[in-house]
Amino acid sequence: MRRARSVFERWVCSMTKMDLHSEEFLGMIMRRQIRLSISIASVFVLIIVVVPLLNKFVPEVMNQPFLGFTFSWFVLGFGIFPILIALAILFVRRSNAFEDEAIGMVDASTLPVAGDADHRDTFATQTPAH
Amino acid sequence: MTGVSIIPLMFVVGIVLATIGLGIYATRLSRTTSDFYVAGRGVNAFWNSSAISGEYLSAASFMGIAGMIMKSGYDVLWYAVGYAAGYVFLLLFIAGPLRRFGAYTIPDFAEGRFDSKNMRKLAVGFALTISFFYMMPQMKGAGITLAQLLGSPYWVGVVVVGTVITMNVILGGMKGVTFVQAMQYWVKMFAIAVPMFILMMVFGPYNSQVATGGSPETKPYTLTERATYKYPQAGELKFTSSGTIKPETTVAAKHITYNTEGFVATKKKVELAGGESVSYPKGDKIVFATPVKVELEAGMTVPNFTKSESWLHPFGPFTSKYVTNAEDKQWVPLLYTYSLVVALLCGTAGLPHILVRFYTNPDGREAKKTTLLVIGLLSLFYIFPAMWGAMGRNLIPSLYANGGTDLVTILLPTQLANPVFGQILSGVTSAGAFAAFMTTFSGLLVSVSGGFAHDIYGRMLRPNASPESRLTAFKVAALFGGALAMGLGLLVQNFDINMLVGWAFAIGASTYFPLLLMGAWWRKLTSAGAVAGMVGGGVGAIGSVVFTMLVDKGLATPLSNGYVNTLLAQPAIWTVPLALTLMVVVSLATGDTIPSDIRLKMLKLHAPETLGLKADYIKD
Repeated sequence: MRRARSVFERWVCSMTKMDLHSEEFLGMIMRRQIRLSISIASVFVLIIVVVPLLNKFVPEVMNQPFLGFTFSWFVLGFGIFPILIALAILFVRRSNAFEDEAIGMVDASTLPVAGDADHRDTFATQTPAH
Repeated sequence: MTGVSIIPLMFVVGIVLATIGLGIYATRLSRTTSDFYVAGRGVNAFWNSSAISGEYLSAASFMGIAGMIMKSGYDVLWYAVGYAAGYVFLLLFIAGPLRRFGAYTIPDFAEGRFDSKNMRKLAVGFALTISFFYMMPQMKGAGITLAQLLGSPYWVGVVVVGTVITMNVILGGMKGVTFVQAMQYWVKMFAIAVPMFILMMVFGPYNSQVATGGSPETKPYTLTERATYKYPQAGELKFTSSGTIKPETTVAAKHITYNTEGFVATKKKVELAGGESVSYPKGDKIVFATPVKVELEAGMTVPNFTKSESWLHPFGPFTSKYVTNAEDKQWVPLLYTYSLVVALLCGTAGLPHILVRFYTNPDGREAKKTTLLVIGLLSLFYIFPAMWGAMGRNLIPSLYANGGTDLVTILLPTQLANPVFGQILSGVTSAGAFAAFMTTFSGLLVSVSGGFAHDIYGRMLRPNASPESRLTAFKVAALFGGALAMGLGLLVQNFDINMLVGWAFAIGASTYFPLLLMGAWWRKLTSAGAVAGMVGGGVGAIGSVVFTMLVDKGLATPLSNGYVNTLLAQPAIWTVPLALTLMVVVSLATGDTIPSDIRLKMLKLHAPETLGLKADYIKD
C-alpha cells in the first residue's frame, strides 16, 4: 500500500516541478527522509528491544549452546554487527537515491544564482583567517 | 606486580614518541586557524572514518570492555554493541542534516538554528561537562597501565600521560590529530586482534573460553600461593570462600556484611590490625578506607570472583547491582539493561569530539559514507574485547582479587610460556592502550580548548579577537583543560573505566542528542524549548551520575529502593524522554518565538547540497 502511494507521489512530482523555497518541496523532502530513517530505525530498535525480552522470558532458548557459545552470547558477540552494517548500507543507498530524485524535482529557475555558490562556510566568512 | 616491564615500556615509549613526532611534523602543515581546528574539510571518507574510529576507540573500548566482561560477563556485551550501534542513530537522524547545515561546532549549530546566543553558551557548557566526564576514564586507563609497567604509583601515570598529550595538542592541534588518529585506529585494531589470535592458538578459541568461564563444573579458582595485593582507597575485597588477610599496616576499613542472598545487610567501620591475620567468613566484604597492601592466604578462592552461572547468562551481577530483594530481581536487571542501551545508542550522537569530526566531510553525502564506514570499522573492532575478557577469566583470575580486571588486555599475553614473546605481545597491547588514551584524550582536549577559544573567547569575551590571539587562547585553554583532566583523573582510580564512559554517554544522550534530533527534524522547536529540554535532561543525568559516584565513594547514602538506585546509576531511560518531552511542551507554549526564517533553515538542513543552498544561507 505504502509502496503504491510512493510511486504515485513520484509520478505527481515528475509532472510538476517544485519551487525550491516552497512549503510543498520542504514538506516533501522532510517527510520522505524521516520516513526512511524511521523505517530503518524501527527494524533496528525492534532487535535491540526484543533481545533482552527473549533473555528474560525464554532463557532456556537463549541459553542453548550455539557454536560453543550460548545463543544469546553469540547474538551480542557476533550476530548483531552484520545486521548493523546491512541496515547502514540500506539507508545510505536509499537516502542517496532520494537525494538524486529530489534534485530532479526542483524547478531550476528557483535555484540560487550559480555564480554565488562558492563553498564558503559560516566559519570562514565570520573569521577572515586566511 | 613489581619492577619495570622493559619490553612493553619500550613499545609504549615508541608509540608516544611516534605520536609526538607526527604532531610536530603536522604543525608545519597547519598554518591557518581553521586548519588548526578541523583540518580543512577535504579529508576523504576512508581517512576520515579511520580518524573518527581512531578517536572514538578509547580506553573504555580497548581496556574497559574486556575488563568488565571478565568481571561481570554477558551483560557487558551490550557496551560493545551499543558503542557501535550508536553510529546507526547518528547516521539515520543526524549526520546528514548536521553536515548540510554548515555550522562549525555544535554550539554553532545551536546558535544558527535558534538565532540565540544563549543557546551557544548552554551548548558550550554541556560540551565541556561531557568532555571532562569522558577524560576521567582515559586518565584512569593511563594511570593503571603505566603503574603496571613502571611499578609506579597511579598518579605518575596520570601526570606523565596527561602532560605528554597536552603538550602534543598545544603543538600540533587537530591537523596533526586527524592524521595521527586515522593511523591509530589501525594501531588499535592490530593490537587487539593479532595478539588475540596468537593467544587463541595457544590457549584455545573464543567459544571454548566462554564455555569454560561459564561452566559450573570449572573448578573454583583458588590462589595457589600466598599473594600480596595492593588495594586503593575504597578498594573492595569480597570473600568468595572463607579466608584470612593480613594487612601490612593498621588500617581503617568499612566492613560490609552480606546476607544469605548476597545483598548488603550491615555496614560499619572496622580497624584491621596491621601485621596480624584477620579471618573472614564467606560472603563478607571489606571496603578499605585508606590504601593498603594485604596478604591473602593460599587455598582461598580468589576474592571478588563472579560465579560461573551469573557470568555466562544475562542479568548477572552487573545489571543486578542494585537488586535488594527477590521482588526487584524480577525487573530491575531488565530496566538496567534497557537504560544502558538507551544511553549508548543516543549518547554517541552527543559526544562533542565525535560530532566535530563530521564537519571534516566535504558534504552530507560524504558524511553518510563516512558514518557507514565507521560502523564497519567499529563492528570489526568490537568483536574482540569480549575475547580478552573471557580468556582473562580463565587464565589470570587473580586480577579479580583487587579489582584489576581493567588490566586484562595488558597482562594476558604475559601468560604465554615464552616470557620474551609474552612481553612483546604485552608491548603490542600496551601500545594499543596508549594509542587509545592518547587519541581520545587529545580529541577531547582539542574539543574543549576549541570550544573555549572559538565559543567562549572568540564569541563571548572578545568577539573582535584576531586569529592569532584566538590561537593563543586555544593553547592556554588546552593547558588548563589538560591540568583539570589530570586532577579529575586522580579521583577515579576505583571506578570501572567503562562505567565512567557510559556516564559520559548518558549525559550526552540527555542533552545533545535531543537538541540535534529535534533541532533537525521538528521546525516548531523554539530556543526556550531546547533550553528547557537540555537543562532538564542534563541536570537529571548529571545529578544522578554524580550521586551514584558519591555513593560509590561512600560520601552519600544509597536509597533503599532497587528501582530508584538503578534509575540513578543508569539515568538515560528517563532523562532522554524527559528532555524530549520538555522540548515539545515548552516549544508549544512559546510558539511565537520560532525563528522567522525557519523554512530556510529547515531547507538547508534537508535539501541536497547540490541545490546550492549553502551559499544562499550565507548571503543573509
